[in-house]
Amino acid sequence: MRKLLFNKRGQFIVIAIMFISIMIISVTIFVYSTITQYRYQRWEEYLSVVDNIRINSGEVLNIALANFTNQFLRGHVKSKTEWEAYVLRGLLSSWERDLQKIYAGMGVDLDFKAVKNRLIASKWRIGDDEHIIKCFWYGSDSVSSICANLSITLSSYGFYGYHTILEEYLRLQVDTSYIDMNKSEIQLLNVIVTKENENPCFGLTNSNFEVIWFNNETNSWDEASIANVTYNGGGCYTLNFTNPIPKPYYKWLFISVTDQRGIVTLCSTYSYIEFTVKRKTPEGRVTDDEIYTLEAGINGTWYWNGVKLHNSSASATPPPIPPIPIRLFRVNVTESGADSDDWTISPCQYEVWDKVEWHDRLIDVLRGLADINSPFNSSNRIVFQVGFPNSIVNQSVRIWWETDLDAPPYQGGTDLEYDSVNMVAKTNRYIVEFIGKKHTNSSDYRYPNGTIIDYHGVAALMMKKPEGSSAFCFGPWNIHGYGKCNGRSLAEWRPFGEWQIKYYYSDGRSKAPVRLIAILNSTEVQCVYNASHHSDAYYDTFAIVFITANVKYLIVNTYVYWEEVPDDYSYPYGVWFASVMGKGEPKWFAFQNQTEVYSDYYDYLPWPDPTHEEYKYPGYWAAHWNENFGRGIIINDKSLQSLQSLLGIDRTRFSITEAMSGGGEQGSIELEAVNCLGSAYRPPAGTYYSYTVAMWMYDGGEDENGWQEIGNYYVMFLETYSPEIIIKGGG
Amino acid sequence: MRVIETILASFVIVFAMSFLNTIVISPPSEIYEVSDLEKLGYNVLYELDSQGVLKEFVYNESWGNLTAALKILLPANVYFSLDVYDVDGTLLNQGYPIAYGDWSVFSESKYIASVSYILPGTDSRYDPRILKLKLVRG
Repeated sequence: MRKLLFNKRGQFIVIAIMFISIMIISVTIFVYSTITQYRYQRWEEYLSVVDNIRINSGEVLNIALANFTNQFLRGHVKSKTEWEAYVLRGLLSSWERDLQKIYAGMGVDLDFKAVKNRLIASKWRIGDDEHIIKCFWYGSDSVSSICANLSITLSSYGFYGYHTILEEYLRLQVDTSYIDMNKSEIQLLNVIVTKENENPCFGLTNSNFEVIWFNNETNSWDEASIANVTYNGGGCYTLNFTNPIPKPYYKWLFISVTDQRGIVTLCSTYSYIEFTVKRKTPEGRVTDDEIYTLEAGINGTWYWNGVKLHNSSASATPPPIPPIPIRLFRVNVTESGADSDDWTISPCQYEVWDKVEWHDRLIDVLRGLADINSPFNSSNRIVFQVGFPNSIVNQSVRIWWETDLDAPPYQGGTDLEYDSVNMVAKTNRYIVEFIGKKHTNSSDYRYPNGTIIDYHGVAALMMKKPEGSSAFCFGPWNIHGYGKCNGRSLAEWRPFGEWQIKYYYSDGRSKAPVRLIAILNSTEVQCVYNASHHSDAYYDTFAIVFITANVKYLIVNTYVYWEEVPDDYSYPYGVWFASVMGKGEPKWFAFQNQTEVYSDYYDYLPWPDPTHEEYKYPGYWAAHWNENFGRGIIINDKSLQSLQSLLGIDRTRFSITEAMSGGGEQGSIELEAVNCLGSAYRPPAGTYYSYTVAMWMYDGGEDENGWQEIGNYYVMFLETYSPEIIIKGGG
Repeated sequence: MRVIETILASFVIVFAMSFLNTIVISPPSEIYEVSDLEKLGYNVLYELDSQGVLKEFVYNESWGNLTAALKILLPANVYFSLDVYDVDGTLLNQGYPIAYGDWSVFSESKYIASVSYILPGTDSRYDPRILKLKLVRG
């Protein structure tokens, strides 16, 4: 080194190296700055475009949320999922298309995706949810929010995948502490309105708020007039009413707010309705299978088996069922008595009951399953079950509602299934095969020689035990019948038609978890013995069948209207309200008459002696059974009156047919309004009646006393013993 | 020999400097000018939008107020002309020029900055407005 430094000929080499180094560094710096200068200027340009897109995409989401919440509040949105799929996606596509038009040549591409696993306003947890719009309404603290992960691409700049989270929300909290103060009326209400980042929402006036309360006098939800609104800072407002809202109605308010962006959110001051169901059947009986399928209607009305239940707490005003989408309702019941705290969720479903004009009469009938997205209205009923095991007398019921607007209808565990191909409904207690116009026979119902008995389009119900073995299947249940075929075969004219099955809700996916509904609306009759015996005269039939899960019973409501009975008919004998075939399987039968229970065994002697036996003055039930299987038909007071309404009690009969027409053992139980062994009877045109028959399915018995279970449970179907409702309130 | 080396080294240095001078050309000042004006124009529109007044002026067609707002926010020596279109390309401020400055400057200048800005809608209504702002230094 020393040699190199002091070598006189090396000094230029050192200088040259230094200059070359400086040159390389300089060139590198200048070339770099030349390249980046170009990039810097381009960045400036698309930065502003991206900024414009980002900011105003938030505005587009605002518009979407405002539109959705407004339309949902007014009931114009039937399905949120559909709205998001079509309207929201359409709006976002328009926005992308318009941007592509404005920034032509930039290659604008937008993508909005839902943001999962997040919190809204530090309160509402969103899990694995695909919804961009999330609203939690109908509680005392509610929010309407929209949140999307926006991805921006400007492909002509080589700019891909810029992500930003856009979130907007409006939150409304109602101070419900006034309810506990037990005031006689309220004049004002405090609310807090906030928006994203928990910023207070200010500048709202009385036109931004709407309060509705249930007016028992007008039986409707009325708007409370807001005289003025005071802003107290921090998003807190006091709403002053022009007229005070009296007790107890101030407990049940709905408050909505619309902010300057047009976003709406809705609060409720109560979140459930609670009441007690009191069993009224006689004590000292086994009640383990005494499970009632109840219906809750608007304005504190409850029904069981067509009977409006008595509200024994008449002084207590029942909280109204709120007008919210019906799919949000849920029901909890106690299992060990009203005082216990062992609440369990009860399967529930939503139905439409309406007055239908049928032959100039308004009949209150079930139309089908409700539109799950429609607000609860006066036609709707919530159906749920309450059991009374171990002789429990009182059980509590709580009807409450989900706050998430995306909540589906109740679809929890159910034992109800429907096979539409084979037209078979299954519960954990029984199986029903629907026989009718399309499905004219059941392979479980045959002549002794093995030939399947064809019903030629007669609408009937084939009942089976869940095991499904033919050993556990008796014959079909005919819901109405008239006359004799060729003077010998019974009930020639039976309702002809097809069962309309109501099992799926309007969305086509959600199923009825409590009971399947089958409706028959028939104007024709058919003979099961002869395919060519068909007529549109005689009578019309409207029948509703309830295939109910978790219980041993099935209920059929039947309405009959008589047209002209043709004059050329030679054998107008007998009117049946029920004719339940046995296929020779049952060994014993029993029925309750006006004073006692009569039971006997079937005497399956060779046909035709005897074929048909009649017993006078049937009462509420009849049954037939063997060692494996049994079933009983039960009617209530109203149906017994209908039975006796045609020609009086003297022509009513419980009857059995031991041999089937064409040979073979039968073993039926039948309920006749006009006995077929008496004189001829032609019902006058215009004759009308209706009746309800419950069928109870059980495990049968070893001897003539195998009817005990029917004798024990039939009381629960009688009007006198219908349960009672005791209002507890709501909160 | 040393003199020759010195001369050769000097040549190398001069050549290197000359080479650098030829390849490094700074962008012309006009490019900076347009870029700055675009940035300025975008910032002004963004500021008005953030305050909520841009939407109000545009959807209420308050062209006079919009002109005044731009005049206040832009430097006095920057001339502007703003056109507002709907999504179909219809000029909405036809007959009401939102402008300031000498028109001849726009026609004569080669370096006019142009900023596009979009407003998606107002009052829960999707109804886009496209704003095209032209800027030139007077």
